[in-house]
Amino acid sequence: MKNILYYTILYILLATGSYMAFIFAPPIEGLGYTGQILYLHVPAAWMAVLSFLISGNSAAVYLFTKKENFAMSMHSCAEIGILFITAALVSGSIWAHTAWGTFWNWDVRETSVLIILLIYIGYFAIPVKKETGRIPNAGYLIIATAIMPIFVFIIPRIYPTLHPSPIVNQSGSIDLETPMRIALFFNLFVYTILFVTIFNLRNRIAKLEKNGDK
Amino acid sequence: MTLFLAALVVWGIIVGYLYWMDRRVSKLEKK
Repeated sequence: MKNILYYTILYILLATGSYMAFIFAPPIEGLGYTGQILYLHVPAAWMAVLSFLISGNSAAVYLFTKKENFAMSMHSCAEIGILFITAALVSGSIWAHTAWGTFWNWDVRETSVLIILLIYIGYFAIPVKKETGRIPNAGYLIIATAIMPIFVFIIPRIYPTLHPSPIVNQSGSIDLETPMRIALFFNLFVYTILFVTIFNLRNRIAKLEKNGDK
Repeated sequence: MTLFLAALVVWGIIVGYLYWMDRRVSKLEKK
């Protein structure tokens, strides 16, 4: 019963987020309704970065403490990060088709995000051996998390890109009209709850898998 | 409006799947 209530509230929040994105927020000038992808694209990209950061932190804590909970957490976050970054990449690609005329044109931002996706997919190729446990996996994730901000935050700011400047620009202000800002931050809040829900569920599944192996 | 309705359907499928998964996991946890 508690679960039904929780998921109903989650659905209402997601539906409200979509209402804000498609009806409450005005369309972006020159882009029409394709611009509403912003409310999926930006929260998904932010959640991907958050997932990868938590994943790297959990990996570092796991290396020091060797507690299995952190190994599960790093693994879950890497998976969820891939989910969200794929959503950001696909939505960005659809947006690029309208705004730039092509789905893919090897723009710096597109390419750097694709490289991050490939780096994290590479993590799943590392086998878990009984002798070493998840130590190599944790090491890989720590390196991946150290590299990730360079691709997300630094390279797209150095090289010329078609991608618009980030929502929070270099002067620290947000260049968005108030309804768009409300819609964006509401969606960001809802995506965070979605992230927590998936993370919690994935961790519970990982515990069941571990108990099944014993 | 069409996009909003499409979003409602997509979120319905995603949340429905998560709920179904949660129920399965809860059942397995009780075992």
